[in-house]
Amino acid sequence: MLEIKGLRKIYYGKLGGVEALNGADLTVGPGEIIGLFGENGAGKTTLLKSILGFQSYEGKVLLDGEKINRGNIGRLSFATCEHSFFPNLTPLSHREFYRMHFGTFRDKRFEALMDFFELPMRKVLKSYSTGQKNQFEVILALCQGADYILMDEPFAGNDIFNREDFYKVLLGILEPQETIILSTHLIEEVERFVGRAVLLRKGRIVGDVTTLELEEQGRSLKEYIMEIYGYRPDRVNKALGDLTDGGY
Amino acid sequence: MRDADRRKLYSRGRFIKKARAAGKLTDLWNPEKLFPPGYEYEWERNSVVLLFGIGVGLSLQFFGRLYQAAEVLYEYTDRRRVLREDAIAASFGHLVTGHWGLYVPLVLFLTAMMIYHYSYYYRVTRSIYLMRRLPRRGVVFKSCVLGPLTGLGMAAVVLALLYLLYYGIYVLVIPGECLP
Repeated sequence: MLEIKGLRKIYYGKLGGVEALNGADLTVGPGEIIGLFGENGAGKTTLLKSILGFQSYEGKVLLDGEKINRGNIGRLSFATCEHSFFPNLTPLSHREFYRMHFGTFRDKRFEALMDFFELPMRKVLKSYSTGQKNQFEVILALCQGADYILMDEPFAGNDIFNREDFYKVLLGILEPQETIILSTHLIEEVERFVGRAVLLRKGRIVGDVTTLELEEQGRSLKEYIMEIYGYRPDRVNKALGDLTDGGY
Repeated sequence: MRDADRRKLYSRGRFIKKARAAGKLTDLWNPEKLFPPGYEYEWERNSVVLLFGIGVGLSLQFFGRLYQAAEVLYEYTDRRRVLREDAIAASFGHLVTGHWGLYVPLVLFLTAMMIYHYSYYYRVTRSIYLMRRLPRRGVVFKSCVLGPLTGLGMAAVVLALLYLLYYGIYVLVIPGECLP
């Protein structure tokens, strides 16, 4: 179980401190597929990077009651739109590298996914297209053999068909103990894929609901998010009307 | 090249390839392992060779100093070159004074390379996110410093041999009774 308790992160700049996370609390059990939603700057990426220990923070991040350290960091993997692979290496070399460092590396899954997405094994990654790079980034995260797979906007730049394929493949291959935390803006797209939605706003967790609960309430994920965020769809029409009336 | 030689070379290449794949070769056999994964180290190696070569090239001024040091040991009497009485040559250390300065650019370059290697993990992609998730301790640090340290070590060994050679020449050129 992944427990996040009172997570607080302040970025200091020339103009003072900006609070990226303000006491976030979250518990993630094994096997869950969680969608992490929020506007730009809500703290999604900061939350994921704090879990992985990429930055300092106040609060606690515990994995089965223990702090994240060298002994258990291998149980977490990460796919990011910034990409974390080595651009000058081929997928084959990455496989060697992962095998060497992660004893849990899933060789068969790696080959199957590479095959499914028709990614060339012997081509250096810098010559891949953006979509292919994203696919490979996610493949690595899925094949590391981690229990908790963290993804930060992993499909930015992929076409809709490709993303659909990925969701289906993910649901098909994930084992019961594998947990996914997926940060994305593609709310409607992932609604059928995630089992739980966590909403962040200004560094706080402002919503946490399972898709089953939403189903029972007869609401869509998008409606739920719009409600929590207090989004007013008529705002644009009103503004356009005002602008037009004003002779702009 | 004879066919037999070509075959020998080919089988040697295959041997190295196989041994590398089996992980039986040390890091020195496989320079790639001394650098961050995928780092194109060739330009760095060439720069080290160039800087080292410039240092060694400039160190040849030793022979000019040695010639002068040897010359002052002699005087000319009736057009004959005669060793001066009680003449003592400049010490070897004196002749190579300032030589270490020739290798400062190399040391500075290799030190800068350690920082450059670290910055590699932030270029094009953020491979630092992967490196920082590795269960093994010190992988990032090693990948940043091993290459430059190996370069420094190799340079030190070659320099030691070179200056041993210089010393041998010094002892040969300076008459025994004039050695300090």
